[in-house]
Amino acid sequence: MQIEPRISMKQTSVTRRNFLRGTGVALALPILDANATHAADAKVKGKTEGNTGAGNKHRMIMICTSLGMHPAYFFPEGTGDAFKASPYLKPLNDARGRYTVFSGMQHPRVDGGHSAENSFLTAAPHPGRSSFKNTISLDQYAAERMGHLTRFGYLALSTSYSRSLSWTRGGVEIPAEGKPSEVFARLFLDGSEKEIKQQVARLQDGQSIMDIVSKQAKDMQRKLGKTDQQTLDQYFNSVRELENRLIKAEQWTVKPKPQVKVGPPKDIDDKADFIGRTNLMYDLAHLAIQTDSTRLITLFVGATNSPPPIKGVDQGWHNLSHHGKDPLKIEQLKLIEVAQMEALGGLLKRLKDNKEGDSNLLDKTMVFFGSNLGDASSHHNRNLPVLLAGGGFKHAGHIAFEADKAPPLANVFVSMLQRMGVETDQFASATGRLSELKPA
Amino acid sequence: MMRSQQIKLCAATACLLLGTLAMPSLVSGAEKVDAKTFDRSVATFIENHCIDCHADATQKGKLNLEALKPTFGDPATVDRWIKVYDKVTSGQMPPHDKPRPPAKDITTASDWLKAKLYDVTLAKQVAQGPTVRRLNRVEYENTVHDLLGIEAELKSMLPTDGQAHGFDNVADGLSISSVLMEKYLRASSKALDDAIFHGFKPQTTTRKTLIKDLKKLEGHIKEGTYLVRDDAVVWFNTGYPQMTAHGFDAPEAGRYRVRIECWPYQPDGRSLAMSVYAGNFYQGDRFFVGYFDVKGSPDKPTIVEIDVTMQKRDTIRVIPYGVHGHKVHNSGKHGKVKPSEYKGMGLAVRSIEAVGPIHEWPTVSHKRLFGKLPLDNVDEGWPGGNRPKSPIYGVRSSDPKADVTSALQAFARRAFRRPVDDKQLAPIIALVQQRMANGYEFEKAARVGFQAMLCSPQFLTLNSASAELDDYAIASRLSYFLWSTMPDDELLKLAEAGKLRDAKVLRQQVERMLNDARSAALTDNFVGQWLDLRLIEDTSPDSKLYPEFDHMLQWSMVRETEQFFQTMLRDDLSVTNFIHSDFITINESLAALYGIKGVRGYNAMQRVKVPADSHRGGVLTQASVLKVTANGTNTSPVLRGVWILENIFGSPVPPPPEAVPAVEPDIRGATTIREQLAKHREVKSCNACHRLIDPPGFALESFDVIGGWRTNYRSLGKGDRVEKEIEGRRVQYRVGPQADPADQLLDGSKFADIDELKKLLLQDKRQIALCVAEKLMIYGRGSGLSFADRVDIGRIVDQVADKDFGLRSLIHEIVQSKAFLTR
Repeated sequence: MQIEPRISMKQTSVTRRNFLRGTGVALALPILDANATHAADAKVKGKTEGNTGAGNKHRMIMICTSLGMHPAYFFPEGTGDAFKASPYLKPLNDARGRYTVFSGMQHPRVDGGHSAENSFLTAAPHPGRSSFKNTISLDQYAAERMGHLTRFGYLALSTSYSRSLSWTRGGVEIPAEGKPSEVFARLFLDGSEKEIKQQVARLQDGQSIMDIVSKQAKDMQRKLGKTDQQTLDQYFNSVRELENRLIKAEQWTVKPKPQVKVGPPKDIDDKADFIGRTNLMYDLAHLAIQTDSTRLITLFVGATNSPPPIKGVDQGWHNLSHHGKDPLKIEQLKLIEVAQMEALGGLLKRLKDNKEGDSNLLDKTMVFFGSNLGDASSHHNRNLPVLLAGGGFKHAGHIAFEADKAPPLANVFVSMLQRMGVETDQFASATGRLSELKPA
Repeated sequence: MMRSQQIKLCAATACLLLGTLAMPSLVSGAEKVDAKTFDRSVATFIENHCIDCHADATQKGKLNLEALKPTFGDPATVDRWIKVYDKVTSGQMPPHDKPRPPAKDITTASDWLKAKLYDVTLAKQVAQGPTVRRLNRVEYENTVHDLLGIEAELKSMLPTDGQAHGFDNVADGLSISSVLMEKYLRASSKALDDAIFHGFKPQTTTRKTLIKDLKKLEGHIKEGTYLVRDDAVVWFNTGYPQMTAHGFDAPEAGRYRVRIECWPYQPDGRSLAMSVYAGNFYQGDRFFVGYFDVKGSPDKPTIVEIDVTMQKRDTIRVIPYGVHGHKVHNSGKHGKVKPSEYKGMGLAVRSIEAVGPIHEWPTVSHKRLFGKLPLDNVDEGWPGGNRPKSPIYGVRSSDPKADVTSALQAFARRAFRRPVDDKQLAPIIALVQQRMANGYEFEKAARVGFQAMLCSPQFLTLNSASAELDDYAIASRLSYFLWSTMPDDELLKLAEAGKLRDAKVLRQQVERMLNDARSAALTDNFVGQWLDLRLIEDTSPDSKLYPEFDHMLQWSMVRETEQFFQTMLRDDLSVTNFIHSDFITINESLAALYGIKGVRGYNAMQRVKVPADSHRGGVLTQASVLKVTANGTNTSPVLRGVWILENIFGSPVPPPPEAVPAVEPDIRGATTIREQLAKHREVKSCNACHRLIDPPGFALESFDVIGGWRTNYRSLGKGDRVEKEIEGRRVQYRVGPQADPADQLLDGSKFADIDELKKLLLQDKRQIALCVAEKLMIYGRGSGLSFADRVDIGRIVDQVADKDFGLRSLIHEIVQSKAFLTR
């Protein structure tokens, strides 16, 4: 018996991602700076001015590659400054002395294989369980305190889909931007006078709308009179928060954007070429930091399935990461992962070569790089491959912790926050700052 | 707060129930009476069967039953009692190495607990009322599409929704943040840009293009890569050069009816299909339209007719499927044959015709937003001399103030899914009037009002308008359950008439809704998540181990399971078919994978009787399920076992303890997963759960990562070579160690393979129905289940026992239940 296909030929109708075609508003709303309501939780050292002065602008770039780094090739031999660079650390030789690589570290109680990517910057426990609720990510925590200082409170970037490392306080994923050309336009291209006018009008409309709907929510809450009003509470607070951010956005919209010498990047259509895409994002991260458009950037390098255009690689990246100890697969995986480290090395070098005052951008920018998987083949989330470069730390080479004796990885986050000027000794699972990591 | 236990009865029922149960003031009195029966039933049972391990001093599994008092005010205590109840009634406790308590003792104790827990959890739900939740992004997009009559993709503008209890429409997973609000603002802006017409009137044209005349193909035809036969272009390859109809390009954005005239060239008895893509291939922005069977001849060609929404300058690409392109090259060298000399099958395409953009006039969106207001030439007073040649069309209003008010009022009723009083709307209308006073044109001012409604809590949330479910809330609950979108006019009219609690009306409506095309959403969203079909692309099988895997196969896998579910739903087949069915719904691609002969064609899934020697039937043996439970390279009985327990048995497994090393996969052909796991199971603490998890997973070891049947694993290291060619290449994998599917269930019953396991599972039909019913209730209501819900679901399931637990009947009973209509 023949069953009608669910979509018969005649009725096949295909809708599409046509919003990507830019038929919407030409000038997108800037990623708005975070609200200031949480700024009181932790003080920013020397108040906000302290971090605005040219000499004291600290930044963070946080990168997660989602399929691990083959442990045997990542972790170096020897500890302290005298460690012997592993195959994966060799591409960072130019920045030697300016980074610290950790071994033995993880987020306690963060398991669940791939799903741990959700907790990479949040350290929220058990991301794989159905009851999982995420918490605020490192960049957003910082953005709540200093996001208002720059045009963009933060940038959440991704090489694929809209998966992101950035999560709100309520545990909502902030979709990342995956098109370098669009990010570039938002950062550096001013709209025409007419477009700016339209943008301002729409931002004002948005403010009025938020004002009205927040009152509606209050009315509904009153009418319902229930004990549990979590959803409406969240709605009400979100609307209020957005209203404030729209006001800020309106102020930024009329200020001209910084000009850069390079033109807009050309997006890479080939999903498999995630290293090419990573490089484009690294270029943008450098430009955004250089122009002080933002001080907080996350980049999620999501898994891809097709073989990347790298000589000697004929299998997909995700597939190779499940190497099942097959030596041929591990060799191909190595080619991919070395290319990733070379890209990272390139970013560090560009930051280092970029002078800022009597310092350079690398010394002012913490670059945190790693993976949520300790070993992609067995899918565990312990002994994560992670390193921290730049940011003006007294870098300690290779800090090796014995298995199960490492402090929580979030302690590194606390050190980073303190470096940003946030006076806190807490973040997620942290027990304090990482004492082994000292400011220069 | 335990949001999973929120439920509210309608006022009348609530009073009735509360009257007979425990109002707060009565609790203490009632508990005194309870104490006696508690002592006789539960306390005695605990004393006799549990206390040795769960006393103050022992506290096995961190459970101290001496400290657990029969007081039910504290939610944590209630949860603990529920756990005790579940463990005892499911037979997991007392453990198997201890004597089994007499059935009578279990019943006495569990009946008391059940009644008590039912009352307290229900009372709590009643007090809390139905959970308020927001729409998820799929529901948001569908609803905006229905409201505005547009097709623009919106859901990818919104963040991914969290899942709770296995579904992304459950309140617990759907939080709201200012980032989300910002996205709503943007998405509504995009939607209204599409919906409010202002511009040139679109002209529908018909364009028919002979493929052989396309300029871009000239070179390839000259080179001999493409042949011209019977006025059609013929080719054999699936890769470069691609047959893209450049030059055919869509003259403007919109929906087109595309007809492709084609047939198999030199048919060789095998089936031919083609995949169709549309998009802007210069910009790499393309999307997959579908696979289509190609039959016939130059005299009787196949006309593939599809409706495609295209952007300006988009075109069509066609790729043959089922040809042997690897044998052909126009150089004629390296053992390849020139296209002109090749005797194998190719695809012939004569013409592509497109009619479009297809539209109504005035546009559907215009009618939905502005009703009867004319969409007219608004070209008057064009400033300066640059008047365009065609007139500009827009909304024309002679009484803007009154017109905008009535447009907003009409829209509000649909957007909020219930009547809206003037007071509620007053601030929005005031804002729009004010914008008009400030010089906004009619459309622009109205737009602000529409946008405000699309951002309002009445639009974005469900169950928020009244403290208990009224008929309008039921209308929404029904439509979001079965259609994942807003209720239509018929449902809203019935709600207005107060008829949606009438059993007969409900039955008619559910029938109508399930027969409506919109019910495809139930398959997409319910089955897509229940059976994890949404994860089908997450892994790509190793091409050396699984050279037979291709996109067609993956596409077919999902369709098989969807079609299977829809067949069960349509024919009211027993839910036991999920475990085993005597039919499967497959196409030629799956037939090849399953080793079943006589199925021809790709486009449609066909209902086929399972051959006697086949191990197929039921979802566990469907390639989709077998693929999403594997990782592309290898399979794990643990992961598949957990999957079966959670999704088929309905009993989630506790997560593994931390710091236990996972089994490290090894595909070198030296060890098998059973050998590796055996070590694991020697540890008593591991075995406590793994003897529950692994057995059903082991039964699936007979199926590889793409759902093929195997007696031996495939290896890339050791093992004999395999004499088999795919696409002209000898396969590289070797014969690895034997797969061993035999094991035994917790109760000691042994099985040799998947067939025997299925027979064991089919012994408890009610349990299968319970699992499916629980999933449907969670999804249908968008909230987790309380203990009282679970008890009621037991009753629902019993009501369909005489219909052999038919799936459609089950949905009817769920909809008719108090749990669905009042909580």
